[in-house]
Amino acid sequence: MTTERRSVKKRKIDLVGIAAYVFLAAFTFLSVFPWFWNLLSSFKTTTDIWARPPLFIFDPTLNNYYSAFVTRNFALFLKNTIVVGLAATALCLVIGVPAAYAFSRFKTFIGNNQLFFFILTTRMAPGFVEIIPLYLIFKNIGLLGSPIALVFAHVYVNLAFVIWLMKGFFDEITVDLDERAMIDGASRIRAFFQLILPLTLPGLVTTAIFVLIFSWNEFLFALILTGGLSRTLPVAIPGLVTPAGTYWGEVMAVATVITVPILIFATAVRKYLVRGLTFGAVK
Amino acid sequence: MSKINWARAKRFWTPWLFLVPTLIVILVLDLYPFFTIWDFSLRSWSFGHPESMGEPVGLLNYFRMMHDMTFWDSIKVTLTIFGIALPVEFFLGFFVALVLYHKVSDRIRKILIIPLLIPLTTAPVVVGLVFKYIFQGDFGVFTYYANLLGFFREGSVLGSPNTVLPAVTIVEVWHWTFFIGLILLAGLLALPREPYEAAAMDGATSWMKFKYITFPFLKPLMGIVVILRAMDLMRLFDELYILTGGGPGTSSESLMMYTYRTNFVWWDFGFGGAVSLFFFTIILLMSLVFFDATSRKD
Repeated sequence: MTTERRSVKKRKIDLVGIAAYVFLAAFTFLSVFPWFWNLLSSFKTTTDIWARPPLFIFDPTLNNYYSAFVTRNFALFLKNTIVVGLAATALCLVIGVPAAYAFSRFKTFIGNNQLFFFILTTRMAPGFVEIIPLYLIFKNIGLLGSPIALVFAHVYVNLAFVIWLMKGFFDEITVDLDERAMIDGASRIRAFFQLILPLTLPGLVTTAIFVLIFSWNEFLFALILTGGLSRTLPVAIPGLVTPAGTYWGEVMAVATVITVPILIFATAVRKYLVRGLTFGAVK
Repeated sequence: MSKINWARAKRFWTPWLFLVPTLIVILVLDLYPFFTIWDFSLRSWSFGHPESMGEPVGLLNYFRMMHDMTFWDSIKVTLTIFGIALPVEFFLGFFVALVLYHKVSDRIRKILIIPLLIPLTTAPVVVGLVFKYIFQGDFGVFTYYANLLGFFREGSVLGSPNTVLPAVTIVEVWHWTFFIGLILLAGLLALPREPYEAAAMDGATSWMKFKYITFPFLKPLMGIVVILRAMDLMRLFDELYILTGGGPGTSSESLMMYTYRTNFVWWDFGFGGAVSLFFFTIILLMSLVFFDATSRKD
């Protein structure tokens, strides 16, 4: 009697469990499939791309990568993307990290913390109000179509994010530590550089990776501020879609090159992913 | 005496030392653009004379904006995508978070998260291109299997005004559902144990536990996630630019794309400035809500 009851109960639980696994499997499949199809297509010849029904098994080729990155200029666009990303990240940290420290430590001093943070919040959503004047400034000083303009734009876009995120990391380190160092005779600036900053290293790395990802994927500023040979990958790749026809194999090859490094970086910082995605609002 | 003053001065100036670089950026790149655009929006720009600032015309550009049908259409497009994508992303994302939290072991959850990160880490441009490829009328993998089932026989779903918005909405849902799922999952994993143990002792059902413990705990987090997604959806641009270019016609032109077109296709910084400021005001109000939600949490 008891065993029978038990087995009925167990089967019921299993049904819900199976439904959950089926749901998760379907959800994961749908999440991965477009990316998988992109990866697969990047190794296809034009004939295989046009095949009906769609091909899942075929002779892979590296021709798309070769023609995009060797024959066309995509190696240069890749270099632009990397240079802009690294420069913007470095500059953003140099400007934003001290400010984050100030917000974390000089709370009583910066009385209008609230107002300042609100100003920063609005920066989370840059729009054309910022883009048009930037465009005209860079045009007037002749930097339009140079990676330097884009570096400044990306610093500007990500600064609020860096401050939000790094303030959270500084808040986690007790203020006593700064004060003890200063009683021991260190200046505030020395305490910051020699004691506190090294302690936030994981936070710094995480923040740097996030800025790098944002800069790497950013489209709108890059579209308006760069052109010709100064383009970054996201702006250059739609150039393969032409009215005369689209080089889909090459599009898929470049798309793979854009996507894979980000995926690796995101996996590396996944412990802090939620914090980064919510501008530090969720720890 | 002078020594004390020196120390005091140092204490006064040190915080500013840390803040000055950021202050400069904000002053130069925040206030300046705002007033420039306000000035632009009160002038009539001419495509033929891009070097001249144009005549002051008062609020004419704003009246023109109010009377432009494509402006209202772009708002309609934005709100349509917004109104469907946001609730679908939220409920589906929350459901995924709940299933991952309740029904799966720690190890499987940790492994599953990695492939699930793919959509939200993919560049919007790449998302646009990959779905454009999948939705191709002649050889797209989606079109092929949809045709087999008897749907969309007349070419790409992106080519018809009737199906273009649902298609774009699906792409948005694909891209961002797990963004919500991941954050709410983090919230679930951080729930305190004690209230549940107390509730179990009082004989609470799982629905009561959800309603009186889980939901109140997650509410601030839900607010943050929804407002972040809402701001992003209002600014929808990259994917649309690639997927449809606003077409066919202007049937999928979002407010952000309309703003782009007025400024960088028509090169009318007066009219475009008015539209940009309108857009800026909307996003500003939404940031206010976000700021309120995050500061109330502390």
